[in-house]
Amino acid sequence: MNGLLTVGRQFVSGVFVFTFLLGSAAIAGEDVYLSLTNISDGTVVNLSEDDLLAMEQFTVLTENEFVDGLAEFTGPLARDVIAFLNASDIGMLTLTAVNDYAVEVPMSDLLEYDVIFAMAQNGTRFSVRDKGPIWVIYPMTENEELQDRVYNDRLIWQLVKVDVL
Amino acid sequence: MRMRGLPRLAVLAIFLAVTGLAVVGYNAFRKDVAAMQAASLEDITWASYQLEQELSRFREALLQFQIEGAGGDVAAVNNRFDILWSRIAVFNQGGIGGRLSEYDRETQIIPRLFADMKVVDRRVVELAQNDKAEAAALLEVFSPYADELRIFSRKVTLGEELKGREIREQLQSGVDRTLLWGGLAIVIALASLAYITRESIRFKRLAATNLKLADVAEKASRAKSSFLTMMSHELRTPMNGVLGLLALSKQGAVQSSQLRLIEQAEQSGQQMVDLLADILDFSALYSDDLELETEPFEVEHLATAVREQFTPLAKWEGGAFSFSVRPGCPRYLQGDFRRLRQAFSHLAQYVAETAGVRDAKMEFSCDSNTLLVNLSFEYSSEGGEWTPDLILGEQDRGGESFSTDALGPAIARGFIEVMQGNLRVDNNADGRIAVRISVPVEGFVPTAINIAVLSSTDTLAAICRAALAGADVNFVQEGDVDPVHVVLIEAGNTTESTFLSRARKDYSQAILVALGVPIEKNSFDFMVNLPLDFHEIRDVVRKRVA
Repeated sequence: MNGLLTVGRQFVSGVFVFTFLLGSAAIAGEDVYLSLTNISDGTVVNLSEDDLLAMEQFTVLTENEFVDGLAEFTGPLARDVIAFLNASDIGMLTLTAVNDYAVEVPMSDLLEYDVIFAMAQNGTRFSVRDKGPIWVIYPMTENEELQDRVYNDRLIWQLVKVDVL
Repeated sequence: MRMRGLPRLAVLAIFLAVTGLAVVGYNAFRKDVAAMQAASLEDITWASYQLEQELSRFREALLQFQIEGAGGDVAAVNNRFDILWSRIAVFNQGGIGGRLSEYDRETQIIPRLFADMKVVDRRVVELAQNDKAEAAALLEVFSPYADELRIFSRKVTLGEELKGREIREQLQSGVDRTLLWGGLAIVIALASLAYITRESIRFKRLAATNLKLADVAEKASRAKSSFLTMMSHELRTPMNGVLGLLALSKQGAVQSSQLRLIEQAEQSGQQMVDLLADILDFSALYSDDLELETEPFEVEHLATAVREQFTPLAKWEGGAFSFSVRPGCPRYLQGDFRRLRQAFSHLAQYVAETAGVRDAKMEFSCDSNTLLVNLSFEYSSEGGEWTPDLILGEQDRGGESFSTDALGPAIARGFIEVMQGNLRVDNNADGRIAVRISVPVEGFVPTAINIAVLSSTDTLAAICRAALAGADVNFVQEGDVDPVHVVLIEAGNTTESTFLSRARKDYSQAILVALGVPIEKNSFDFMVNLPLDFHEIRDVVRKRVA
């Protein structure tokens, strides 16, 4: 059921990407909010803030080691964003922050859990001074197995670049 | 009893001890794991180095701006400032921020740095292109923090190493404790297992010994019972002979004084026979071998029999004791007449001996196939209290000794219980004490059985009459025209053939019963051995009734 849902979402995302690439992809010269690169074929998709906000927004209510208590994070699903690359058989992603800090994240994380590219916390948009523009958020509270240092290290903030390996 | 309780207590204590140890061990281990998990969730040394690094990068951007002058990148400076700001923000919230702030509690480097950043925020944002002096001034502000953050990072690293060592030691200690508790629990469990095994073996041996002892005791009891039964039988047979002779002697011309002596001898003899019967019955009761002998009887006859059996004692005690049958009570019932008589006689006797016989009454009645006997009396001992312990069986049950006066009540109670009856003692409102007995019986509509006795001696005929005295038997006399159902014929001697011929002629439809081993065995329907056994002849006649 989960697999079907994922395939369906990927299909929808694919159609969306196609439409997006034809008409509303970030035009050169606009501010690039998040850059996606498929290393294997050299495809690059630059997404603006508006592009990301135009996507379906998901909310994750969770705790983690960097916030006080439960916090409500909002943003598009990470797998939907990656779908813009229209890449198949993705194994690993490299997520890079604005300060060049990078982590590797398996694609399976994004498929198995509703990991989001959060753009707001408790309704307030992130700034660079506060983990913006994007903070990768795992739903840790509802998935106890994610409450581990391995996943804690993947909560990269100030995300600006995603490389698909 | 104590030995049975001890192992249970020991097992419970061992179980609790082992469970307690296991719980303590588990909790200790759980705490250690939780501590390890919390400590390892995020490496805060990385966060402190990140801050140090971002400060360095910001300063580098300022320096680059200062060097390049007009070509300096203001946006890069602002960007680095924002990133540094975000690193400072980490200290202000969450578990990571809390742990980092702990290390900065005394030095307060981070709050000072953040305060300075807020102060220069506008200056950084509004940094004009080619404003080298402002860049130099900003560098001046942040330069002291480079060393302080380096020291802070080192402090965090050392602190985390110490904490790591503590956690490792704690874990080691937890493992040691768990091993200790586990080992202790295993030792206790093994010790308890050994103890329980030893106790089990001991109890098995004890049980085997007890079984042997019980077997020996049972054999001894059976031997005693068998001996008692045999002796009682052996004594009863000559006693019956004595009673028969006494009965015969009364038929002759005897003086009244001699008659009284004979009657006393008869009563004593009868008491002896009854005592022997009691012994036999008691033995049978205690070995569960008692077989009830159900036969028809007259309730009036039962009351009379109890009275006759009790009269000598009543005379001796000197009190008044009346026996009566309530009007409306069926005349005939079926039950074990002899055992009922014995039971009621024993109760009456016990009451007379222990409570006196002042105005004692025994009333017989019947209600729905239940024989009811109400033995009521006034307690004659002044100031004392009559306790019916022996009647209710509360004294002799389970006791090792058996008092001499307990035999009668025990037999009475035993008979009543075997007959599925009930016995209770009430204190009536009028101050009288009532012993109430109820025994299930069957109704009976009598069929008169006419019996003829053909014997050369009056002795045998008298014994037969005594043996068959009852409600449903009628001994015919010469000249009676009633049909004869049973003919008792003296057999085994020269008169046998004569009596047989007479019986065939006069009582052709009757059943012929030989008294003694007959010469012509085939001519008789039944045979009863001599000396005459009362039970045996009653059985034969009962079969005729059936």
